[in-house]
Amino acid sequence: MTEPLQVQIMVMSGVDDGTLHTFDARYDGQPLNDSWTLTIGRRDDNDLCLRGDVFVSRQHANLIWRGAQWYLQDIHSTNGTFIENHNDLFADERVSGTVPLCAGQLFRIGRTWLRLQPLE
Amino acid sequence: MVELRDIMIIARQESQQMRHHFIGVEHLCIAMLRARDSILARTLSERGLSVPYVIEALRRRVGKGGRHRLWAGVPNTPRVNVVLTIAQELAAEAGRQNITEHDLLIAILDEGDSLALRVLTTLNIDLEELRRDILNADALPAVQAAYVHIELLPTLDVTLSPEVLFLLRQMFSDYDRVRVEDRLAGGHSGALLLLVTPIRDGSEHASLVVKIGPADLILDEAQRFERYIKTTLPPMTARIEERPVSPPLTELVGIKYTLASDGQSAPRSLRTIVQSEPLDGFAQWLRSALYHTYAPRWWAQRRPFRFEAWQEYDALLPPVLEIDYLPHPPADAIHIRYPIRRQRLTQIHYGQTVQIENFIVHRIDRAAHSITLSLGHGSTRALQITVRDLDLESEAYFRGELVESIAGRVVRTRHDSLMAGLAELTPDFDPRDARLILDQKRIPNPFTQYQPVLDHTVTGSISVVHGDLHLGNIMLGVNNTAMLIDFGQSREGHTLFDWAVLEMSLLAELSLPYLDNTWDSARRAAAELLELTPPIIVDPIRLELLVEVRHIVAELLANPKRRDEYWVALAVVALRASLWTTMSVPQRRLMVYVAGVAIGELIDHGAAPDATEFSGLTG
Repeated sequence: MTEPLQVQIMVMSGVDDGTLHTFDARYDGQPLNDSWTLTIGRRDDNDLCLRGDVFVSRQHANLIWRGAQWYLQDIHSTNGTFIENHNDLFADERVSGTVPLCAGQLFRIGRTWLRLQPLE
Repeated sequence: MVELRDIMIIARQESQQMRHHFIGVEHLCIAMLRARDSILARTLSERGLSVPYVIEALRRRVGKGGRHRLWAGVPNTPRVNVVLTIAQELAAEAGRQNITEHDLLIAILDEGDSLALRVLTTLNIDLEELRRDILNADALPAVQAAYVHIELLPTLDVTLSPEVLFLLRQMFSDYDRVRVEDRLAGGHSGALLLLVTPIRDGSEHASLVVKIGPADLILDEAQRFERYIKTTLPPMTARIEERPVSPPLTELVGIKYTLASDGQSAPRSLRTIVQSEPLDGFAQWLRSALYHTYAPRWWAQRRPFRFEAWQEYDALLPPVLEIDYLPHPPADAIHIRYPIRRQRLTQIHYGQTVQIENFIVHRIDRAAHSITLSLGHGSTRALQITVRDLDLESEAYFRGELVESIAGRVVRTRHDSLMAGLAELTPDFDPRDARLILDQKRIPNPFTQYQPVLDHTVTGSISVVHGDLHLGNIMLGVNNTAMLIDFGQSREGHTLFDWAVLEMSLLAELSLPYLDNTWDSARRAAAELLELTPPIIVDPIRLELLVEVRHIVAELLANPKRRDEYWVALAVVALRASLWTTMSVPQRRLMVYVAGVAIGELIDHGAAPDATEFSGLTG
């Protein structure tokens, strides 16, 4: 079982730039068998709540751990979820549906850039 | 030495303009770039990266904040506090009371994980090299280009502003002298295009084309070149070899197009040739040198592309609306947002208030205090709306930014703009007439009858297009190779657009000897050049060029029986040209007829395939 007990998300932009959030499968999110879902949005009841960004929807996206892989899922957010495009600063790749996400990769929820921290 | 206090003042301004209301590492970096004599501006400029470009890249990466402030004051981000702690230690170690730019830069590099640094890395800046340069910064020379003599050919009727001369000296700081050979027609963009020969130690190096213009225009061109052109160019041609150059704190940026050349004879533009030389053989040249060189990676790619004409071509016409900014729109403002009922837009009139939602900033005109918004990114930049009367000092806008909501009062509609353009071409006919007469036939008046063109659905192909393929942008180099310059409009788009622009440009130049100040001369030239009547005044060699363009177009049609694909492009391109103030009034009148003929063909034959010849011009 490769289930991670913990995951860390680093805020990379906005007023909270530099803040590290740590989540633990025993206390946060919705663990289900061998999968684990963390919710991201502007409302307080999300696992990761981004209050400081008006471009974040109330329920914006989910981070899902399934089959030893992280996935990023956009849940019909108004302003979109994006993944960093290394080749072109001006063309972030918009996420539609669910896409795999690697540790270290930057993604953007509304106007806030986040990063899934690589595990030590 | 710039001190933290001064950097913080600019950083706050930047944060305010971006509606961020916090201080992040990106604001510190932009502040350092904007500060006078800053190390960061100097070291980045030395790597050929212009200051406005880096600022724009940083701004785009983080995006702009929303309307509402969610907290009081202007707090530092946690990351900035880390950076400031490191900087404080660095200053203390060096025995300094106050943090300087030097400490702050090293601290940002030490912290090492900010988005700002990621942006620099994406722009190919080696952070270790940057650190070395900053540590050696005191040894760096102040930004002061070696004195380079700029000579203008005496025959040239050009005066260059001190700002342009300064930029040229910086661009050619490795040379002793630069001779300006020619000023190339820069089209409508307002940029300056010069053909220059740099000289070092008495020996002349290969001539090249320099383009100088406002930062956002030139930087956009450099991006388009990277994105669409660089990888699709044939080997022997003009290309942008270096990054854009701009001295810190100027609005101007310059780029160089190096031309494949033997260093002997200076390249000439096709426009110069058409104006001054016999044209025997040039029809063949269009095909063998121009078409065959670029077609394989560009026009001949022929990927199917079905589009509504307005999506591709609306942006060529005057803005659909020009509005004066209103900070507090009334509740009854008309909302304009996607999806758009275009019908509705044409019914909006002077004095009404509109509220535009989720449009993209397409152009910023600081001198006019205006921005132009459009629907959608990239090549789909249809339905342009110009917002005037903005205070661009207190609120930053940048290209590509999404504006959630902005309102204003309509001061000019597209119809007003078109009528104003037409008024410059009168007297002699009534602009309200629905039809014009050409060669005893009635053709639509394009100024009032363009709507069916925009409503047309086109079955065509998409490919990389140059985007502004007029004669002035086609250069002849060694062995008469075809070299293209000016990629400011390059994109993936309707394949036939380039050829419609080329035909328009050929018509404008080839007709010149036959035009005088009357509508009659424009009418006669149009009829003969479009081969509606047999040539009497027009030299048949000139016609051959036009015929060759139509042959190439016929080969590029997605469906050889559906010529409407071309008429749409030609109609809009000619209508736009008829409004250009850079073209003479007689040429603009000719364009009115060209647009009218194209619209007439579209209305008569557009709906269904027809088997008639492709106008008279199939030879």
